[in-house]
Amino acid sequence: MDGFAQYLPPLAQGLGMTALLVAISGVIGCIAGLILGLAATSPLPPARWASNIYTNIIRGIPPLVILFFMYFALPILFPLLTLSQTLTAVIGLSVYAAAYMGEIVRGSIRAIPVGQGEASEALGMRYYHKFRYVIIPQAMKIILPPGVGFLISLVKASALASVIGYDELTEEGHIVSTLNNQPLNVFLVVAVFYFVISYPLALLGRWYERRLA
Amino acid sequence: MGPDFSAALPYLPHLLHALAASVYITVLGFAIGALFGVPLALAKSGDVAVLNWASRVYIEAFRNTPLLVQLYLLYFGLGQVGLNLSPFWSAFAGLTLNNAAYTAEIFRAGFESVPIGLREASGALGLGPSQTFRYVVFKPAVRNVLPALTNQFIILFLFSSVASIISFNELTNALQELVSQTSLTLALFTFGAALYYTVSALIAMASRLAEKTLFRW
Amino acid sequence: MTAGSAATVSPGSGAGSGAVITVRELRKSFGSNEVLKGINVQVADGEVVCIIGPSGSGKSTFLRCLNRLEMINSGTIVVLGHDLGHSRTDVHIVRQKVGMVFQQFNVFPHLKVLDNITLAPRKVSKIPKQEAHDRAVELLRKVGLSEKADAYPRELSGGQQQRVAIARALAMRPQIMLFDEPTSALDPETIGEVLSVMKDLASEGMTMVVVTHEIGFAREVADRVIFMDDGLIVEEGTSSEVLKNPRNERTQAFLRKVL
Repeated sequence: MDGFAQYLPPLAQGLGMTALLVAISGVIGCIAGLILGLAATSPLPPARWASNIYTNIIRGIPPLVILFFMYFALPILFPLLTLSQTLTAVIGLSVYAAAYMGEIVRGSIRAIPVGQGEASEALGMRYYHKFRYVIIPQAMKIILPPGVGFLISLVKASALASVIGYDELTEEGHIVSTLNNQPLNVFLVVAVFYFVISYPLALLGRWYERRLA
Repeated sequence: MGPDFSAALPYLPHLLHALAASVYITVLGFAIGALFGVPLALAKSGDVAVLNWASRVYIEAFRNTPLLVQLYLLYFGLGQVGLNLSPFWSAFAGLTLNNAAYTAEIFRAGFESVPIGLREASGALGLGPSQTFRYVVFKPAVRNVLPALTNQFIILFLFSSVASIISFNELTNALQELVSQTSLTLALFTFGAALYYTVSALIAMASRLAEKTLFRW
Repeated sequence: MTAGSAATVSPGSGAGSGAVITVRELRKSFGSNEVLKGINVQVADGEVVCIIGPSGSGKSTFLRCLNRLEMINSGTIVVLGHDLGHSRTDVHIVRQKVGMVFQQFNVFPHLKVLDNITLAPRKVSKIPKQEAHDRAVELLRKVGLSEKADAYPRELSGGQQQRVAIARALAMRPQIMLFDEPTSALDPETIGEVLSVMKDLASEGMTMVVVTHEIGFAREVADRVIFMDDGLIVEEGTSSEVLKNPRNERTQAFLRKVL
């Protein structure tokens, strides 16, 4: 491949930006997802409604539209909220991640047999103790396989951030291919880069799932 | 925001038209993709080494790379070797190939979920492997993975929006065009989001209904 | 009535002193289905009461009302001086005094046996780690599982897990122990070891309410036997009264089927 060595550096930089984006929005998404999942299984109806409404709506809208909405529409609603591309990408992906992780957490908590909660309550434990020492520790193991699976989805969704100008891997690929007119070569390399991040995660998730069984 | 929304109402028919394109390409991509998904799933769990390996490579390649990159490869990449696909054909090919990989995995899980005892009983009755598959395995397998298939359909529908980036005229593309022309940004994007949400909610409801009627055992 | 007195009832104000559980006209429905149709019962301190009856009679539901795992619709339940029907009552305090053993054991699979037993005393009763540990070791010896302290529940048989569950409940030093069909999910070989632990508990003077199908256990250990059918108490009395000479037809029919 001609000039292969030339376009590797910008692609590598793009890869780094992708990893950064995924890491940050992944962490935020996990924390927010945990809160949403707890809210969805909480004994308080308003918490359940709020969580379900949020999760339901975000999961029914394309992530691309979420990003566009944040980048184009939100600044009109709140002029102060004209965020940089980086910030928009991070927040947009975090909003997306939170909804999906919230659903995963909710499912995991509900997968814990109801008897565990009853036994905890029968011993006199209140909500906090029950969740902290009995429910959540058991839920964590159940969350991991789908959680890792979603992480892969997040990596793929991060490619959409290129559309609002965030300089990650796909965007770098686009730039390079317009310069050297070899989109096939460039995007194949881009695809390989994505594969190299995602496939090990996929294997990890599957290994963990087998361990749980 | 009142005036903003009512000013955008006249564009609703245009958006609905574009939504139809989104649904159309999703249905095409899902149906043809699922059609390929079945042999892919069989190849992956089968005994023929070459098919086994090839299907695995295909599935992992498409499941571990972004749809956007796949579309870029089809729309721009193939142009480099002289094959210039239109936005429609790129989108169609992309969604189909992508969906084939995902549904293959779903079907594979479905086939494995049918208890081996059923297959043994079928064999003991004298049915051959392909008969066993057609009459004993396939329908229960599909029933078991109907939720996963529906989920995949909804995801494909939402990701049809990515085709807008290669200029395929579906809903998100229409939104972008209208927004640049009219600056009714908030109203239009809200309508767009609402349309996507409504369709995915309807699909989910239809699936639950189908589960109760078509697969009633 | 001041706020405090609505929540607690002074001892002795129920009919008969020494009554640790007093239930009057208890009704419970699940939706439109009335499962408990007016239960009246008293349990005295140190008594062992066995509740028998066909499936669907409401016996488990009744038991679960006693520590408010189920909320009642009407009537009164007073347990150790606390009115369970009153919303102000802190049910967590009641639950520390009332232990429960479940049909499905519900031991915590992610904790070792010893940690299963020390968790609640340490976190709820705020007992220091060493003290909770020593008490747990003592309880494990009592139920015959000393060597399993560091094992995980999945390594134990059903009968062993249930004995761990009993030790776990006892660690909270309850005044009453509730047993919800404790041996129904066990293999026949392991039933005996659990019943043996329960018999020891009874002979030590623990107040016990046991929902069970083990008529032999009831005959041997119960001070009183209650036969429930279709949401009502049909017959009650001493174990020889109810089990050997039942007066009611339905009781006779049930015992004929079961024995």
